[in-house]
Formats: sequence, structure tokens, C-alpha cells
Amino acid sequence: MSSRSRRQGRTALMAASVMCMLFGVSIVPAAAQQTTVEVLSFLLTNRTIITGDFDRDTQAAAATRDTIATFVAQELATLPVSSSSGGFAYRIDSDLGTVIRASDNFGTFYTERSLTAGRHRASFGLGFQSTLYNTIDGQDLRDGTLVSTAATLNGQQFDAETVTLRIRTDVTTLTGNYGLTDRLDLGLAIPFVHVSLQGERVDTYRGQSFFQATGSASASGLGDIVARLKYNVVGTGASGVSIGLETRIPTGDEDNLLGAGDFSFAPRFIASFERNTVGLHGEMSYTLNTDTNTLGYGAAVTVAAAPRVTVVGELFGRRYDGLGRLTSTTLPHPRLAGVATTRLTGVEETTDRLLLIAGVKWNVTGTWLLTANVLRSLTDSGLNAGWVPTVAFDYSFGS
Amino acid sequence: MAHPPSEHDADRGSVDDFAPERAVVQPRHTDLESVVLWLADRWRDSKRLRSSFAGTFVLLLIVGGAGLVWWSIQSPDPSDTPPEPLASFRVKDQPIEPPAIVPSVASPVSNRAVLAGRGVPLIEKSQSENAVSSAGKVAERQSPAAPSGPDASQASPPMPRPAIELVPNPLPPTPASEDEPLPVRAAVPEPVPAPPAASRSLNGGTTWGSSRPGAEDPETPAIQEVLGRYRTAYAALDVGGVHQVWPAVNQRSLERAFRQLAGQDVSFFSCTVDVIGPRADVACVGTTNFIPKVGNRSPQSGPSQWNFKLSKRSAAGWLIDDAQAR
Repeated sequence: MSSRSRRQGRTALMAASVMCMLFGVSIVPAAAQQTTVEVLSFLLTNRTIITGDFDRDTQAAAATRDTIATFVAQELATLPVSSSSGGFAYRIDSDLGTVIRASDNFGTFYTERSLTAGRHRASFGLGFQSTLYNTIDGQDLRDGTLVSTAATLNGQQFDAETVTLRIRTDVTTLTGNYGLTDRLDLGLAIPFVHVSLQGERVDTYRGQSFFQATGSASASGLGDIVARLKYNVVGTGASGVSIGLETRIPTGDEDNLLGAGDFSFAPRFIASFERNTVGLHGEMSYTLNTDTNTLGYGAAVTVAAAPRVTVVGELFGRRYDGLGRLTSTTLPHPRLAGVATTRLTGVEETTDRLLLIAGVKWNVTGTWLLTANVLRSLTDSGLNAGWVPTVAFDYSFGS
Repeated sequence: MAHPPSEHDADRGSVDDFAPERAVVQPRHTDLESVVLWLADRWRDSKRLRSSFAGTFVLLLIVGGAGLVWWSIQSPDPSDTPPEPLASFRVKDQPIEPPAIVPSVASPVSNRAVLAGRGVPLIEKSQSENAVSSAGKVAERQSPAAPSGPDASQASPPMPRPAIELVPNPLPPTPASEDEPLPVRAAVPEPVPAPPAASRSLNGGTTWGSSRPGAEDPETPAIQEVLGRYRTAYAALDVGGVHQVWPAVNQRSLERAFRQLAGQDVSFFSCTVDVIGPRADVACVGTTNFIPKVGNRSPQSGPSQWNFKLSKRSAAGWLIDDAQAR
């Protein structure tokens, strides 16, 4: 590595440090006296329908709130932090007597690939993802059809409270990756999250709607920091097998839906096969968390459409053990014969999520990389949006 | 809509009894004073604030740690060490044999070594700088008064080996655009090294030696020629040229590799030739600089050591059977 590269590296590291500090100390106080979770809880708690069991109402609202909060946390935990620097690395091919690109493509988005950046090679990136959620467990969040509490008489609904929720997350992620050795990478992802929640509760009694409540909250701040190690166990060119360890540090405020609130550790197994311009990548991981253990899997295809352009397609799945889902439970009214109360609540059960990601990585100039992708859930479980766009810039140095 | 009569209605009374509830969310603090007050009020009981500070602290620790790691690994890297001026070592260490051809100038002009910066190849330059090889890489200049040719050499008494001056090898400038051809060594075809006897020590900027001192093989010049063509072809990113001297090369892979480069420059500082019958092993030390098409466009270092296996074929002469570089 030349002295120029070292200077560049030091400069970039200092710049990254300054950016981190600036972001770190400029965390804005989260809106207000009421946290996002409190506002969510308020919106979900029945105060109109006489159910005769306020405790059960409160419990159901709390379970629903917790489930939604967990969904948000899981969404925020799905970050594209894969490094692209392998596409700028050149290595000596001893058989050919010259250098070749370590990889013809710039890698994946969410699914890791086995290739490491190489000793003293570093990269950093800044990405932005904005998500406006439309549905939760297949039910529309925004059209006022999500029933939180309802009363029926002999099976016929005559009173119902519905909730409309507008949940939006904007995540700006600062990522960094550094090759400690030729085979060992250290990566870091620092998300800065803005969560906004707006909602209202409407009671519809015998066909007549009555506006009941509205609430909004927003919060901004540091999300959960992700640190990761990746070790290339065996590799030929860009093909090979790597193992990794990822940890999430609960730096995000759980009460404002900025973070999960718990440490998590995830061992990973990564395999890649690249031949000429096409690469196939797969990974498995298992996240150990206080609340929810998660089996993760991903598969990706990368195609170097041109030397400077990589097209990426990915399937990225998660199986959450006990993440929960929203469901409606119906119980008879404690005092009124023939009357039953239906409550929206959350129940713990294994949940599957599968995401489809498609995007492009474009080497604009030098080692600058513009990446853009869209993400769409193929499953109904959890919080879902339509097509979620992500845009990021990456810069590699030491190459 | 017919309302089902029930006790529930009686319990409930009228919907008018239920006043609409609103979640009143306080506006954000907008000025510094209120933020400071808010911080003071909330410091004790705000989990979020604490976690934010904790997060910032952890972040700074991580960044600081990464910085320390970064600086700590800046220790000298063997691969970063500038290539040793092997030629000058040879001048010092090896016993000088009476060359077959020597300049008639009695005293060497200079004997200085100019060390180039890291990564800049060092090319030896003798005081006899006559034949400009290519791209200003190697220049063998002879004194105007110095007669050349076998006659002159034969007339001259044995002299010490010419002093060697090390000069930086100017790297090819980075082309302004991809379309602009890189002025690499291939721009000026390297003359096939005419093997005068003096090139035993200097040829095309390369010091040639044998693993068996004093046993110069008459095949050495032919091998030098082959390796010169190898070097030229690599510098020109000419797969066909490589194939001519190395028929077994994987042309497809090499073509793909060359397509990834905007330019390449190969220099051999010294080579050791070991000829055994129709086979020869050559070990060379030098440097490779390349400019990639994708990524950082400043010159980067490539292979610096080569091991060639050659064989002599009756029709084609010497050809490379295998080459390993690292």
C-alpha cells in the first residue's frame, strides 16, 4: 500500500470519526413527554366500548403494542451493510503472472459474500432508506379497517373501534469495513433512525362513526450499532467459504422504537461461488437474542453487467422464533349475555419473513460506488411496505 | 339499520356519553434553552438519553479502537518495502570477471545510488547508456569517445565492471480517460536484446547471472530474448505476444485479466539463469506496476518475483513452459 493510500486511509478514518461524533452528539431529544411506544399504546387501548373487563383491554393493547414495536425493531435491524470493496481489489494471479480483479462485481446488499476486502483495505458508506408501512400481518394499517376492539351481539358486530396507523422509518446508515488481514474483515454499521407515528382511533357504533382519539410522536437518534467480523476460511478468487460473527449493541432507544433494546449475537456461515461475471452467494445465520432467536438465510445472484456495473438480485429470509403476530381473540362479555368482545392482541409464535431485493451498484468514478435497490416483502407477516427504496454511496480506499 | 335490543345498550347509555379523547403530544423543544432544560429534567429517568450517550460512548470507543488498530498496523510491511537495489548489491558482492567488452573510458563516471520512493521501481543505469530500450526505462549510454564493438573490446584491457547508477523508473502517467492509451513500455518496441558479451551483466536494465558462477551458458542470450519478449508482451497487454513465447499460457484467462487493466509495466532487475541441457530455470526479481480500469487509477504494484521454466525446442528455440509470479 502506498503512502498516498495510507494518507487517504487516515484522512477517511478521521472524517468518519468526526461524522460519527457529530451524529452522536446531535441526537435530538425524542419528541416529547410521551414516547412513541406510549402514544402507540394509547392509540391501541380501548376506551369506548364497554367490555366489562378493562384489565383485559389493557393487556390486549399492551400485547398489540409490543408486537408492533417488535416488528418495527426487526425492520430496523434489517440493514444492507455488505461491503463492496472487493470489486476494487486486485490480486496477483501467480499462474498468469499478472494481477486480476478480486471480483468482477461489487457484491451484494443484505446477503453477505465470502470475499473479504483484503489487508489494509477499507471502505465506508452512507445509505438512506425510507419506509412507510402499509400493512401489518396482512391487515391494512392506513385505511381504518384494523379493528382493535369490537363488540358483537349474537355474532353480529354492532360496535367497533378501528385504528389507523401511519408508521414511517427513515434510516441513515454509516457503514465501514476494514481488512485487518487478507482474510479477516471488521465491519461496523451505525444507523441513525427517525421514527414517526401518527394514528387515530375511530369508534363505529351501529353504523355511525365517532372520532375518538388521535396521537402522533416522532423520535430521532442513534439506532442499534452493528459490529461484525468476517473470516475467510477458504477461498479461491472470489469464491470461498467464510464465517462471521455479528453483534448488535442496543444503543437505540427502545421506548421510541429506535432500537431493539437487547444485545444480540449472530454467528454466520457464508459461501460464494463466482465465475467470470456471475456470482452466487448464500448465507445462514442464527441470531441469539433475549427475546427472539432468529434463523436467517439469504441467497443472492450478482451479475457484472459491465465492468463498472453490477446487478444484484437477492432473497433474504428470516424465521423469528417467538416474534409474534397480531390476532383477534373473542371472549364473552362478563356480564351481558350474548355479547362478546373481540380484541386485537399479539401472540408469540414462529414467524417467517422473506424479502426480495433487486438493485444496482454503479462505480461512478474512482472507487466511488452508487448503490440503489428496492426491497419488497414476499410474505404478509410483520410490518410491510410496498417497494422500499435504498440509496447509498460507498467509497473504498487502500485499493 | 335495525339495532339489536340488548342489555348492552342499557349499560352503555348513549354514545354521547363518551367524549372523544385526544392524545396530546407536546411540541418539540425548538430552542436551545428548552433543550438544555429538557436534558436536565430527563437525565435521570430518560433511558433513551442514557442509551444515546452510551451509544455515543461505545461508538467513540469503537472508532478509537479502529483508529488504534489502523495506526498499529502501519508497521513496515514486507510487501511495502521498496525493492532492493539488487543490481548494486551484485556490483559490490560479486567478484568482477573480466568482461569481454568494456568501454575504453578508464574511469567510471559515477557510482551513486539514487533510491526511489516506495513502489517506484529502480532501474539500473550503467555509465554506458547507449541503447535506449523503451519509454526511457533503461538507457545504456556509452561515452562518445568510447569505441564499441568487438574490436574495441578486444583491444581494451580487462576493467572493473562498470559502475551502476540506480535511477527511479518514471511511471507511466495516468491517462486522462479510459480511451486514451496508456504510454506503457509497449509504446516503444523494445529492441531484441542484441547479446553482446557485455550483456552478461547488463541487458535491458536487467542484471543477468547464473546459479553457477563463472559458467556462462551460451544459451543465455537466447533466453534473455525470450524473457524480453515476455516482458514486452505483458507491458503491451498483448495476449498473442505472450502466447508466442509461452504457448501453454491460458490465453482466455490472460485476456480477461488484461481487459481489466488500463496499463501495465514490467521490469526485471535481475535474473538468475540456470541452464541444464535443453531446459532452463530462470528466477527474476523486479517490479510490476499496473493501472486498473476499475477503481483507483493510480499505479499499483503487482508481481515482483518470477520463476520461469523454459525448454529449447528445435524449431522454435527457447520457449516458456511455465511461469509463476508472486
